[in-house]
Amino acid sequence: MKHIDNLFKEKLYNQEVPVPEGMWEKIAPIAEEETGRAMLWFWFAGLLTLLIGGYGIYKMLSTTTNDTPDPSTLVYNEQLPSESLTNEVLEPIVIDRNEEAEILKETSIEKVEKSEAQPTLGVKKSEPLAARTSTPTLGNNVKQIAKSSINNIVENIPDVGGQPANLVITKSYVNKEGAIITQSNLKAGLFNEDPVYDVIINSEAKDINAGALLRIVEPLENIPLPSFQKPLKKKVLSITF
Amino acid sequence: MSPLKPNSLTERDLIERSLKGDRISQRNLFDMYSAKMLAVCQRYARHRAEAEDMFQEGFIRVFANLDKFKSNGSFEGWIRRIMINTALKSIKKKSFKNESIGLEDYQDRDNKVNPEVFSKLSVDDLLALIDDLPDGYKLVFNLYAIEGYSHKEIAETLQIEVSTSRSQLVKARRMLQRKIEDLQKIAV
Repeated sequence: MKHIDNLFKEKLYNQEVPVPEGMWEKIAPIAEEETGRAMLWFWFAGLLTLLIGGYGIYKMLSTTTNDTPDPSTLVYNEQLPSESLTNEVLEPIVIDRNEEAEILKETSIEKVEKSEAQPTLGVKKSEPLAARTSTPTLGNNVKQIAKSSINNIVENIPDVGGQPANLVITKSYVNKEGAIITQSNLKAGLFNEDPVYDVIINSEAKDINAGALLRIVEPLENIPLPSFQKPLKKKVLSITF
Repeated sequence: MSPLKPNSLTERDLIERSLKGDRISQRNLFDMYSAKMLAVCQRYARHRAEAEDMFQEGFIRVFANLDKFKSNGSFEGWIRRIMINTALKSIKKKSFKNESIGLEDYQDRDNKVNPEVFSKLSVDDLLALIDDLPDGYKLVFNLYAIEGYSHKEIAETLQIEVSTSRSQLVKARRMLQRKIEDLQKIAV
């Protein structure tokens, strides 16, 4: 004797009945439409996940950068008033001499980047990496020139017992002879409209002067390597030891 | 109906291709399961036309939700669930009200049937027996005895009490057994 449930299940569970002709044709168009809609949602969900994931990674990187300030970070200040630009020096970046060569080799040059849409330059500590921009006009050639220049200067700076040096970017306006012009002349308009940006390294150790690493002149195609030191030294307003 | 699935393509392949809008793969999946699923719908429907409506709506839901199918389970089981849910949606649940009362009158005695007698009954006879049951009995018997749902699952699916599901099943078995005994007497 068998239980009634089992007897019914054995005969009916896998039962098949003929499907009327044309049934698929009724289902197919709606099925195709529904599948397409489902796939659309699938792709939309995928795209959304990517965007959220990307934003998360961006935020994570930004946070990491803020948590561990890079002493050689150089970024652009977009809000400098034009009236105060002459002979202006922004907050210096401190470089530990012990780590100087390594920092310069690995990071400093890569971070001296500029956007054409941001005509003013400044220096800030601990800005997120994502805030830095680069432009083709400050491409690999410029970086290579700057790198060799900085390395050369660093090599010639005597060991001052681990005291830090400063890496500073200054913004100035110069006359046709290349001299930095005064505030009064700036107001009178007797200057080249385009500013120059000087990247300098400086130490207050007795036998070390400010060293100009790089002068960037707009338009950015002209990147003369500076050979002067005194004019630049006086631009350094503050030095941290 | 014989499946059109090419030997080189697995069920998973057909599902993935269907998701990409491949009509042939969609058709293959339909052909693989349509005959079984129409039979499922027929067991729940009151008549053939209603079964075909359930079947059609069920397959549309299958393709609309194909991306939600997890490959770690049985695809047939997944389709079957959708078909049953679709069928249940279209069935009124009025017949379940107050059915738990009077359970004591239908004690689940030894529901056993002589297989010899049972073997003489065709599939159509069995379907006719089930179809003669009141709606509530029919649903619970189909879900519990044939589909293998638990009383808890039935209660959740039909939004009834577990005790109601139990009482419906007991009554359904009693009625079926009595009818089979009657058929046996007629045959003798």
